[in-house]
Parts: sequence; C-alpha cells; structure tokens
Amino acid sequence: MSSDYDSILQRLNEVPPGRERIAVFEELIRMADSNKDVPMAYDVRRDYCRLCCEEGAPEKGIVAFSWCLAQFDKDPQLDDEHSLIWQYKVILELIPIFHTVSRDQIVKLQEDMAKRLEHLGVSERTAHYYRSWNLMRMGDYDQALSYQETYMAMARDSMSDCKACEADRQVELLVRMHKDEEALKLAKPIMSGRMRCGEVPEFTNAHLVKALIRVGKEAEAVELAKSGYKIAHGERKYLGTIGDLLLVPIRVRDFQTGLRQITKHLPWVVDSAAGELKFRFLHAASLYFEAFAAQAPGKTIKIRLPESLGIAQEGDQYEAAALAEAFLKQAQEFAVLFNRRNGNTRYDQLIADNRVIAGLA
Amino acid sequence: MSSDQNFQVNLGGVIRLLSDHLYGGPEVFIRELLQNSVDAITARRKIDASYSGRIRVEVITSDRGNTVCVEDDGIGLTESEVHQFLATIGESSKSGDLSRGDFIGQFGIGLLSAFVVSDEITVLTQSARDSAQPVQWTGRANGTYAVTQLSQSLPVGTQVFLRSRPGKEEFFEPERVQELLRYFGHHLPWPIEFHSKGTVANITETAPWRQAFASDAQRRETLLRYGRATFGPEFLDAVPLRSETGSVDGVAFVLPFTASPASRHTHRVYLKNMLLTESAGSLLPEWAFFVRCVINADRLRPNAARDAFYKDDALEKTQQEIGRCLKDYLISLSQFDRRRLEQLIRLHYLPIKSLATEDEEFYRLFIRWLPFETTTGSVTLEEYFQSNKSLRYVKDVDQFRQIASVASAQGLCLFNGGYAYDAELLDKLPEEFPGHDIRPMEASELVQDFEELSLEESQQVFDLIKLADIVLQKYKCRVEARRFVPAELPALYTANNSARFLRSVEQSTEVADDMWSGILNNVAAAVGADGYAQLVLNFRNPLIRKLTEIPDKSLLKRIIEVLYLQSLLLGHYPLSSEERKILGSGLLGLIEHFLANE
Repeated sequence: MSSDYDSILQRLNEVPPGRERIAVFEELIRMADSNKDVPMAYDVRRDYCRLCCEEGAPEKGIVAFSWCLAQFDKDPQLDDEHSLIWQYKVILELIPIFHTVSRDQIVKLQEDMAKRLEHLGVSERTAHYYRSWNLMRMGDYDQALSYQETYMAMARDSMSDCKACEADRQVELLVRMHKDEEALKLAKPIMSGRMRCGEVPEFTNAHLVKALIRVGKEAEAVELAKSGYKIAHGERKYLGTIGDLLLVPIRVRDFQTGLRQITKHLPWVVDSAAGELKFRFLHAASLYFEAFAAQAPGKTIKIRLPESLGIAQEGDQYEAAALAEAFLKQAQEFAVLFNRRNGNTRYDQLIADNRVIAGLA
Repeated sequence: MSSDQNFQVNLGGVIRLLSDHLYGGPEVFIRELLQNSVDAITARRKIDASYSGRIRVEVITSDRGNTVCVEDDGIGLTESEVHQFLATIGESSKSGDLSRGDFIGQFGIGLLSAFVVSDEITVLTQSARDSAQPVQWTGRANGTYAVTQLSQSLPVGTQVFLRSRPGKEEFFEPERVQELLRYFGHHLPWPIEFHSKGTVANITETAPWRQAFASDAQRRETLLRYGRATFGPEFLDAVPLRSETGSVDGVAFVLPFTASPASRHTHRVYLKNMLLTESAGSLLPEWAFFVRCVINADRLRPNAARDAFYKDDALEKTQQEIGRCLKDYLISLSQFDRRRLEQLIRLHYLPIKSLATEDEEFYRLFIRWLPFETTTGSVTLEEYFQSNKSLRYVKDVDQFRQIASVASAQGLCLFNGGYAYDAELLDKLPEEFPGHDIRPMEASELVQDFEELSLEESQQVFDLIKLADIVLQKYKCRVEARRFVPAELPALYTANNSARFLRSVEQSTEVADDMWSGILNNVAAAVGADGYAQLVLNFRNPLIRKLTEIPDKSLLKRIIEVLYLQSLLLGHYPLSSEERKILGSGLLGLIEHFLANE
C-alpha cells in the first residue's frame, strides 16, 4: 500500500497550491480511509485542513478538523496537543463566517477550546482573544472591546497569535466602531511594513481603507486599495477583503477596475460556502452597479456572470440598475440571516457603512 | 547610582561570528578585497573621469607561508581616514558624501573578513588627495593595530597584504586564489591581473550577454554554452533579460525538463558585476519557474548575508520587468518560431498557464495552444475547435475520473478542469471563442445524455428502480436506468461536489460528539444542495436486465446494495463502517443463496 501513497505524495509535491492540490489530498484521504489507516488518515487530514483553510475552502477544513479532533480525543498519541489546538484556533476563527452556524454553537465551541487550552496549561488570554473575536463577528462590539482589553492586559504566551495578527483584530474592531483615528494610529507599524505576517497587512488593508476614507484621506485609501488588491487578489480566503477594497474604486468611480475585479472574483462567490465572505463581495458588487447606473442612467453593461449565480442572461448584456438590485437582494438575504443568527442589526449598519465608503450615501 | 561602562568586544569572537553567519565562508575574503579595490577605483573616477583603473593580485610563495597582495590604483586613504575606517568596526568609508549606490561594499567591514584567513593584515595606501602622505596600517586579529606614516613615496592606490594563518593555507595557494578571483570577479569592468610564480593571467572577461555577435544564432549558441558551463544542463533556449528599475541585465535559460512550482530554482546573481550569490531566489515572478538566470544588478540592495535582495519596490518592479522580458520572449516565439514554442509548451505548460490566468493579453495570445487533458487524450483548443463547436468540462479531477471511461466509450470528448489553473482558464473561454457553446458540467449531467429507455423497457425496470431507490435512500443516492456504453459496466455512480462533501461530513459526524455533529450539519447546510448522489443502472448490461426478472425481493435488495458498493469502490470511494458491514453481509448472503440453489 505504501507505494500507492508514494505516487500520490509525489504528485502533491508537483502541484501548486490550489484546487488541484486539495483534490490530491482528498484522494490520499480516501486511500487512507479505505485502508483503515487511522494514523495516515489523521496526518493527511491535518495537512488537508490547513490547506483548505489557506485556500479559501474553510468548510472542508472544518469537516476534516472535527474528524481529527474526535480521533485525537480517542487516541492522544496521534498528534501533539499544542499543534492540534493551534489549528483549533484557526477553525474557531472561521466558524462564525458561516451564517448557518448558530450563536449558541459558536459559544459552545469557543468554550470547548477554552477548556482544552486550560488543560494545556496556558493562561486564559487566548480564550479571551477568541471571545473578543467571536463577539466582534457577531456584532457585540462593546463586549468584544471589553474582552480585548482583558486579554491585552495579560502576558502573551505560546498560544498567542503573532503581534501583527493581534493588531489586525484590534484595528478591525476599532474600524467597525468608527474609531478611525485610533485605528489608524494603532495600524501605523502595519502600514509602514514594520509589522507583518502571513496574513497581515492583507486582511488589515480592508479595514484601513474604510478608516482612511472616513477621515478624509481618500488619495491614501486609493493607493492602499490598489496595493492591497495586488497582494490579496490571488487567494480565495481574501474574498471578503477584496470585496471591501472594491468599495474604493467604486467611490472614485473607477469603473474599469471595478468591472475587472467583479468579473474575476464572482466565480469565487459561487464556490464559497462562507456567508460572510459572500456578503461582503456581493454587497460591494451591488454598490458598483448602483454607482454605474447613477453615472449613466439607463446604460447597459456587458459582463460575464457565473450561471449558478442565477442572474446570468443570454447575450451577457445587462441593465446596471437591474444588476444592482439583483446583487443587493442576494447580499441582503445574507444580512438577514446573519442579523437573525447574531440577534442584532449590525449587518444593516455594515450595509450603511459600505454605502458611505462607496460614496453612495 | 550608576555609571556608563563600555562593552568589551572580543574581535576574534566577532570575526568568527561574521565568518559563520554574515559571510558565506572563508573564501569571501577575496570578494571583499576585490570589492574594496573596485570601490576605490569608482571613487577615484568620481574626481577624475579620465582615469581608468586596474587591479593587480599576486601570490608570493614562501616556505613560511604564502602571502596574498591585492593592489589597486584607486583613491587610497589619508591617515585620518585610515584611523576612522580601518580602526573602528562598523565604520565604512563609503557612507559619507559619495553616493552609496555607486559602491559595492563597505570598506572597513569588508576588510574584517580577511581576519578569517589571516592573523595580520597590512595596508599600504597613498591617497589621491593633494599633499597626503602614504600610510601603513597593520591590524592584528587580537584587536590591536598600528599606523605609521611612510617617508618613501608610493603610487596612488592601496596595497593589502595578508599572510595565511595556520589551517587556512589552502586559500593562499595560487591556483585557489586564481579560481576565487575568477569566481567572484570574472565580469568586473576593470582589468584584473593575476601574478604568480612569474606568470600573469587576465581574470576579467565581458559578460557573454553583453558581447556583440555577428548573428542571433551565434549569440544563442554562445549563451547556451555559457548556461551549460554555469548550471550543467543543455538548456532549451537562452533569453536576454533587461530591467531598467534595478539596472538589471542578464540571461534566462529555459530548463530542458519540466519543473514543478515547488522546486524553486536558484539563480546566479552579480551585484555591480561582482558575484553576489549562486543561490538567489525570489528574483523572478512566481510563474517563471521554468528558467534559471544569470543576472547582474546595479541598483538592487543586497541583504546583510549578501545572498538575496531586500524585498522593496525596486525588487518588485525588477521582477515585473524580468517577467515582461520572458513574456515578450514567449510572444515572439509565437510569432516567429512556433516549433520551439510547441516544444517549450510541452515541457512548461504549467508556468505558461499560470501566467495566462494573471495576464489577459497573454491569455488571449496563448490559450489556443495550451494543452488540456480530455477523455480522448491531451489536446489544444486549436486542435479541438477545428472539428468541434461545443466544449464541456468538469471542474474537478474526481468528477472527471468518475465519468472519463464512460464518456470516452461514448466518443464524447470531455475536458478535465481539475488540474492546476485549468478551470480558471476554461471559465474564460466563452469570451475568447464567441459563437462556441462552452460550459462546465457536473458528472451527473452526463447521465442526461444517456439513451432513454423505451416505454416498454421502463415498465420492465419499474419495480427494480423503485426498490433500489428505497434501498439506497439511506445512502442519499437516487437510482435510475438508462442505456449506455460500455455495456460491460452494470452501473455508474456519480456524485457532484456537494454530494462528495456531504459524504465527508457524514464520515466526520460518525466519529464526532453532539456539539460538533450539530456544527457540521450546519456548515453542510451552508454548502447547500441536497447532496444526493446518483446510481445509473445500465440497461444494455445483461446482468441488469436479468435483475428485472428476479421475484425474490430480499435477494434483489442484496444485489442492489452490492452493485452500489461495487460502483463506489470503482470510483475509489472509501466505504463507511455501515457500508463495509453491508458489503460483507451482502456478499455472504449472495454466496449462501447461490449454494442453497446449487
């Protein structure tokens, strides 16, 4: 059997990261499962989980992780607990972006991880960090801020995210709360390039352009949206980020850039299962067509739309206003679902905020 | 109360650290000394443009150990400069008023590297500045030094003498010194003479990519020979490179074998014509993993270890400009040398596809020549569209595998969009080929094209299908009957993405606790679709037709389950624990039934 593994493992080395790599991993998982080779199935799923989270297929990562966690609980020899819990952090971070996962489930999961962290012997800092993160994603900004202050007052430890990631989270919360000057001040080391990591400033740029526009620094926002897009455009996990950055070309009525980005990334929206990412891109797309229609009333636009979006028509020619409405409807459906899940109306505020950023208020 | 104290610095320790971590190895002392000479010449030319420099290196052999002397006729140092730059670690004569960008190294810092191979360094120097007196500086590895004003006159310039320290004699052998001079300084713009045992050798030679040639063919041949000598392989082609931003020029060699994106190839890099490293990465755009390069950069900033460049705007622009050179090369092949382009695409379609996903213009030019896997083998779109107006593709390898054999048995050419970049490239086709009917499909759609049964046949198979639907309901699998080739295949199992995802969710919920099961089901709900797979029974298959005649429902049930499980195994699907149980009991039941009837 090992020779079968070898030939697939060899292929893993040959394919670039992306969907094909995911498919090769799935083949390996199937083979290990068929062989009832639990240690192999575990190792492959663990790597597959990381890859899926990186490649913007978090739903697959979550499924693989839950399998690993259940196996680990049965047989702790399968993995190093520290590295398993580290991946748990990644998963916990991704769970709230699914509109179908309930608030109660998110809280239960976060407390399950808190217990495991305690078992690992680390402080409650990381648990607080994720409480803050989840509350922010669910729109409870004041409570999120309170947990943020708590964890920031505690000493960092081996389970803490890197400083750049932590700063990114803090900046996002401040921007969501419209504390823009404070956010920009905090983000200075990120903006100057002194503080960075694998995902920062990629994620952070999406928050910063909003803050810059609201404090009147439009030219800086335009530059940041450009450079931000450049570093994020190739990775599906940044779909929401790309949607946020798109608000800037819409604001300055750079319709060519907007159209190029929408055409390129709409297929990702179709493939994605994460409601939050879909919402952010779909809403930006609706604002694009709204701005386009306002600029040239009655004008049609030619664009290639993925069929499964349910909007595409023969001939690819559309009324911009009709597209704006169709995309808004889809975005609003997600907003309603998230508001219901979160028990508040924060998504209405996000919609209103986006309109201001896009210059459509 | 506190008082400020000075650190005690152990020079020997510092040098060992430099040797182990900052410098690549002891041999870099040659590079550092050459750098000082080149920089001194550059500085002198700043005050006297008509002056042209030269460097002379000599190995003086002796029974007490060989001595290396490196001599230049550059700007030289005054006594105060000697104190300042040679006696203070970290000071450099090149950080002052002269523009830093013109120099390669940092004089005092570079000279330190000589202590890695020598316990004592002597520098004789005569500054080009008026009225300066010649000076001798002798520095020792223990951190002491002496400066003496010389009474005799010296020519303008600097001579550095090193005698080998015990254990480092190999670096003072004439052959080794000459080899190192060539290695580092082969393409320097000033003549370097190497003297040893009465012989003189010229070290420098114009870089081959800068030489003039009588014809393109001659240039290509010379560059390929150079590529072979530098890296080993017989390269497929040589592409001249030029970037204004980093003031970069050089040559890219097209690999004669298929490279994987993971195996990043390294490049030989010269900085201001001095060899910087042979293992530079990250010089090229991500997609350009099909070449190895030799380049010279005049304006990029090397890092402290001198094995790569700082990731700054200049490097990014340089990468783009080098990318542009490679792209132009490919475009010119498409216009003037299709045969070589085809050869190149056969080996390097992956980087070309990668570029085509990023670059619209390139996509339009190249898409028709790129190969795709189909159920009838590898084809290019140019070949395919000669006799077809419609194109169907599946977006992942699994679906392709499920239906490849059936599709090809039916003579259907189906494209596999599951390999790297392919789905993205195929998605854009309708724009490029208007008037063609191009769209992705799910494996299950293929079934829709299978031949329908006649009314009579449908009636015949009705009970079987109804029973099969009930039996396979628990596996979330629907059943129908059609006619398709190959006739030997009794049943075809197809599952689209969401069905396969749902299978993985079920596998995880089987082992997960209640909390996770709930979450998994909710995540699955976000993926949407009912997740039903499909089993198509083949009415052309004699076994399936026979099944319609079996009245024993419990026997039929077992056969249906075994058929389903066999189809899963054919598609490389792992069986769940329940499915395994059923496969076991189903087979045993069939054997029992067979034996009872015997």
